Amino acid sequence: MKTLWSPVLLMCVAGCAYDPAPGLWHSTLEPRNQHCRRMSQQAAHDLYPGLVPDEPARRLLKPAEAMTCSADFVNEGERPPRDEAVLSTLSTSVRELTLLASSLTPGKPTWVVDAYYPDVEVSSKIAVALRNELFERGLRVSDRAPLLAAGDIAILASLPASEAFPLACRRYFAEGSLGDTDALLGVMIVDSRETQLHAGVCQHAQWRWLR
Amino acid sequence: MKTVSSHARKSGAAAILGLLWLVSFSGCVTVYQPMTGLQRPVAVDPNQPNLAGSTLALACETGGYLEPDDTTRLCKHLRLVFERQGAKVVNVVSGKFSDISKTPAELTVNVKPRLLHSDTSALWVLLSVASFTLVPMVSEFEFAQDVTVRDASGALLISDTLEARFIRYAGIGMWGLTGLLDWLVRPTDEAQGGNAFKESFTRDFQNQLSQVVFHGRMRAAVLHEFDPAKTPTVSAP
Repeated sequence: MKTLWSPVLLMCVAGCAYDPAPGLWHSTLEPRNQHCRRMSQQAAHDLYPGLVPDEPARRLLKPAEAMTCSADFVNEGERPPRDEAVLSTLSTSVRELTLLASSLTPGKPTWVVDAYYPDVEVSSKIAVALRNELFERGLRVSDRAPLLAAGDIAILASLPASEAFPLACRRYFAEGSLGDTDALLGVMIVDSRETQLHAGVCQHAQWRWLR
Repeated sequence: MKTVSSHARKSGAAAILGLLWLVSFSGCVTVYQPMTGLQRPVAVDPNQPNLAGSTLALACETGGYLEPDDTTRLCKHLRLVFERQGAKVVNVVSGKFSDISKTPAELTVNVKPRLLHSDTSALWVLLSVASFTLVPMVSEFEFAQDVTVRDASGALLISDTLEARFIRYAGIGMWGLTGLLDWLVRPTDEAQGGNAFKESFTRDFQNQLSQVVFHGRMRAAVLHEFDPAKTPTVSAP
């Protein structure tokens, strides 16, 4: 009896190893660093032909399904939660924001990009991603960062977002950082409890919130 | 007389075995796997007054995998979650055809359940019965909660989908092994037995919903240029 059940138990335990859910082989933390979705075997085979076999020509049971999981680049807890949330969805948010900006801004301006984010490294990553996305859309993009005088920055820092960005926009044009052919796409976090990016466009000294 | 005694002994043994077999099925382990959205990091603390001054309408739809009673319970629970964050919840609706778009609330939160997958394998049941539940009986189900946040005019501010998977192992083998690992190997916050799955899911769900609603609130503020006068309002019916 023992010899009969040992292979069965072994099969069951070995089977668990392939399942991404917490269990004997996986801790509760592991699935938190993955994004999984269920799909038909055919769809999974199309995406991962080397890993998932094609559907058999003759089907005996109901159609098989596969669960595909993609692992995060950075594990939970390695970066501050807000940075992680912003960076892990950056390609999607950048795509949405540049689409909004390019479709709602009249004319064919030269795009100048700036990101207002508390962390400088994350801020520069956001700005680079925005420039690349605008460039890939076939738009004219400048890599210069618009500058303001130290006094302006000190005043702007003390204002709420609702007043700071429209004022900064006016000052960019007053100081000559931006010209009539330029449009500034500003991307920012308005509240420290957010993990979503907002955006606005500054053109002809007028600030307009996009999202 | 001897035959009767032997028969009684056999019956007794069968009854004890049956009882043991039944008892062995009472050991269950349920694990929770966040699939999409639920494991996303959050920056909002659901115990802080993030929604202070907001009025909120809440609609929990029935369907998918949720019975009407469960929907009502979910809505009550969510009401507490948002009230704890300072929101004034003015309307709570649970049902199949919830429509609370015309309520005098700044934000309308709609939660709609969807069943994605449910399965109990007959093979696992057979193996489990035959092995006196040393091999567990495995059943799993996956669901999604579609969350939308709209402003007072009904314009969509934000939408999100949260997906989770639960797997239930019934049987003395898995129950014992999990208990042993929880006791000897796993740290307390990584335990898998007992109600750990409920606590973990509830925490994730609350955190994500709080973050989504806060995003909705901020997006509404930005779109109305931080000006309460520009915020659309709908008069009470």
